[in-house]
Amino acid sequence: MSDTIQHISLLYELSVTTLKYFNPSETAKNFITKLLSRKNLQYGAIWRIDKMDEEYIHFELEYAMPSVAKSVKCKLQTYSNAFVGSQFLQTDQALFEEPHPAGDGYYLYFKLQDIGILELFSRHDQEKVSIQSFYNFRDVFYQLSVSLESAHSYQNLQREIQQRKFAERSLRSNEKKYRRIVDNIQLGLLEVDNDDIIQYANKPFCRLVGYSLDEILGKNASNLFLLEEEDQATMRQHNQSRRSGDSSAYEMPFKTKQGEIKWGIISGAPNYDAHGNQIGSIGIHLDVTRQKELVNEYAFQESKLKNLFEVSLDALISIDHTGKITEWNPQAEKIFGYSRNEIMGKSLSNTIIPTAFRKAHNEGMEKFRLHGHGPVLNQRIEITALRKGGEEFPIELTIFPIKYNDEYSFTAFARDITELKESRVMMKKALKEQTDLNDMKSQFVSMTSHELRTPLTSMNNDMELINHFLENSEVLPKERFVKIAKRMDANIERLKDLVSNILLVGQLDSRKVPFSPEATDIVRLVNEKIVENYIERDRKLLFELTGTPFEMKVDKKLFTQILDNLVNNAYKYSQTQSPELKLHFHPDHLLIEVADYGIGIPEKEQPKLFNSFFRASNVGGVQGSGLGLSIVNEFIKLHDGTISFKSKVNEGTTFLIQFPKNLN
Amino acid sequence: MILRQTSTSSILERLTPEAQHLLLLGEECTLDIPQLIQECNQQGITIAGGIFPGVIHGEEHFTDGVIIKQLPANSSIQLCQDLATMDKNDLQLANAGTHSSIVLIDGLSKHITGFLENLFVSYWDSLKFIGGGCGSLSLKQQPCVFTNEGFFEDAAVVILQERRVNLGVRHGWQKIAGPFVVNASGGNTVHEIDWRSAFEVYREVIRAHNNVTIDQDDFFNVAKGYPFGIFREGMEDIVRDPIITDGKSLTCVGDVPNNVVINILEGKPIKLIRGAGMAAHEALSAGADDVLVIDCISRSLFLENQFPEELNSIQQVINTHNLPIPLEGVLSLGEISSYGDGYLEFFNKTIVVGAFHNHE
Repeated sequence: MSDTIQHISLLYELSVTTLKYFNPSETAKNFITKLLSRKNLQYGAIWRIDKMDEEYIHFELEYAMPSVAKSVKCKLQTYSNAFVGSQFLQTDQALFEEPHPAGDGYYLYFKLQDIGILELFSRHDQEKVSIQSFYNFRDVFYQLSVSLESAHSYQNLQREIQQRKFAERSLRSNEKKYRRIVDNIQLGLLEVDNDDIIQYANKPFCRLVGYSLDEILGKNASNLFLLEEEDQATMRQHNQSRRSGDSSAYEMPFKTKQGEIKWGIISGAPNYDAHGNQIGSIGIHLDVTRQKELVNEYAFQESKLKNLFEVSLDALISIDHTGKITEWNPQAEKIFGYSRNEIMGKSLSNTIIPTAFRKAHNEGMEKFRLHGHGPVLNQRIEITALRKGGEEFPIELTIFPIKYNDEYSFTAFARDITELKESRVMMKKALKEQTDLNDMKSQFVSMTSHELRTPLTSMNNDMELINHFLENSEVLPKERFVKIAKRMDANIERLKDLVSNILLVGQLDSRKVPFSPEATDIVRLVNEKIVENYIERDRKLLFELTGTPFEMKVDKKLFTQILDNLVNNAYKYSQTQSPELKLHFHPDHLLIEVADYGIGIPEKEQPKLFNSFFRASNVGGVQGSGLGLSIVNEFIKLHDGTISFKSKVNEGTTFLIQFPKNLN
Repeated sequence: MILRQTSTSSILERLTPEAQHLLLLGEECTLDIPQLIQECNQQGITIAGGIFPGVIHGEEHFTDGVIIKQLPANSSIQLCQDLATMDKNDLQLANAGTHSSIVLIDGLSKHITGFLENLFVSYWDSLKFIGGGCGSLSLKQQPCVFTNEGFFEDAAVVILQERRVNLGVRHGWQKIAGPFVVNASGGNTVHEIDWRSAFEVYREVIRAHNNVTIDQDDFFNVAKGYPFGIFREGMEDIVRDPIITDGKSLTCVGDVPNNVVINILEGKPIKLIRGAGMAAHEALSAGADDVLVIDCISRSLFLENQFPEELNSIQQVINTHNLPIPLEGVLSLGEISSYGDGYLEFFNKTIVVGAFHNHE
């Protein structure tokens, strides 16, 4: 009874031993150690099956006391035969292929289910390792195998748990690392759940919106940041698409804690948990507020610039580095005649530059490409341009180069200065007229002071002479009295003519000169009123007639005055040779030549010859008012005629008057 | 050889550089060990030894005195320090001709079991071990083993010898109660027996058996007569000697494994003395060139005046075999022996008799 209790006690001790340890090697060690101690054996080991091949079954050592090799192998056939019908095998030699360190003695093997075998050894006492002496240990051995298997499973589990913990730590570490990365990137990151509730935001995002993380966690992102219901609806659409697994990127305004409006480009993607379930979405936010402002500003500036260009009175033309037109404003359309659609992309050289200048233009462009400078750039120049219709016209041009990506383009402002140039001519003319008027005034003053004073002085002298005779009661001889009378009469005539001419000039200016043209036999009129009047002069007027005379409608009085003035001048300003009067009847007009061989007119003064009160500088003491030729010129114009002259100082002057045959 | 009046010089007079010497000292011996080591080193003398609660010479035992035993030539002396961390690889390999080993270990070390495992793993059953625990009966741990390398505590000396040894191991303690299950223990301390306070169970058993009341203060005087026995199939139990209690747990000399099944033993002088004789008979039946007895100090404390009878029973065996060898040994704190051919164990309250044979 006592032995039974002792056996049971030992079995209990061993069975408890197998339960107390989760480490299989530790379990094996405690089991073997106790077994050796209690059974007084020399050796014990537990071998675990490692693998099997066609020939061998390989074992790994779980524990041995004393220690032996770490692995052994046994022929598969031997192993199978060893445990036929029994879990025990008692033998006087080791089961394994390798020489056993225990050497000669008695071995007992017990098959520990499918996990391995228990090996016990006694050197001298066969009975100690008999099957009989261990028969009652079967259940404990079975329990050992279960325990070892459990311990291995537990150990594997622990290892797995450790690995998982390590993986989790690694994951957490990675997560921390990614959090750090996420927090350090300059892009805002926002995590929301499927209800748009904020789960996480990185520091840049918090900075972007002005909130701390604690302030926004758990709040609805759309309600917190979005401005309009419209934006929230857009956001809902994006969220909906993310639930379908789609990513999207969009631009959207949002408000900060301080109420400031910012713009962001948001790249959103669905967020999944470890099991692949969608748990929300992650949005990366790029602050584009400044860019947006710049774009708006640029758009505004561009719009402003475009408006300026549109309404500019100057043509705006841009060409690229190849000379192709890239900008063409409405004023350019107006000036050059090409529509924008028509000319965009075409060569500037072949369109608005006159053929004569194209070569120079192309060479200038090439020179700029090579050397980076051009003589006509960045300054205002006047050149000739070509309209679509082929008309060349003057433009004022400013060209400035613009460098972009190492390529130059050119923009030019062009202004049609045709009218400007004309107005300049007119202004010049007006100025000249004003100058002439001033000259005329000076000449008038000069003339009047001379032409009025001279006869008046003469008449005054005559009157003083007469009064002297009367006061002294002297009798003025008749011859002398007649002479004084004639002189006074001549002076009065002279004054009358002068006044008459001045009045006539005034009438001409106010177009109040009576003009009554009538069909006239020109030859007859000339003979009667001119040629015959000069017969008695010291020099004969040479009269010549060519062509077939015809009647013309002229104002006889004015016509006569024209020729008389010119012939009279011919006599006045020539001394020796006879003046010439020639009538050339052409089929459609009459050409009259009045020539003298006198003092001539200085070339410089010739342009002023028909100005009122003008007198050439070389007239000397020859009387004259300076109104004759002016009046002549005006009378000729009334007859739709023209007057010109050829003159050379000291050689003479020839006036050419042309009258149309038929007066309009 | 025993020297009662000891000094370094008197010891040195008996040592020679040519031989190796085993010195077994009683704990009250006044020998200056460090000085002795220094002198031996200076003179090229090889020594190894330990301090025990007592030494045995003939049929007497002493708490002072030095037993000097000459070791065979080619013996190998190995000092093992820091028992907590050493493993089998720290031990020397045994030569092919090595057959026995004397082991002296700090008997109050907490790492005796592990150390013995290392010995067994290293040397299997190729060696037969005899040895004992050094230290003071005061149970205060202090330096107690020495070699030429120094004087140490928590250390062991392993002497490998070519000579063979026959061992006799007995204790003679008889079971009075059990089996019990040590369901909670740690190292050499038993916390619970049969799921109750170890001291409580122990006290009940002693009282029931002998109507003796055991209390915490006078624990050792009573407990020395009632050790634990760890069951071993077909052999005497391995004795574990409870020496201290805190009123709940019992601290023993030597480990008591968890879940081990124990008996409570009782000592009867005649049984113990007879056991000693049987051990001597087992060891000396084939004669001997030298004998070494490792007798547990607790046996002498238990047997008191009758202890010389135990020594006499051994001496009588020596005499019976007409062996011209002195009975020498130590009173130890635990005994070491490879019991039979088997596993190396640390015993309490046991007597180990080693009979050395210089030749095959």
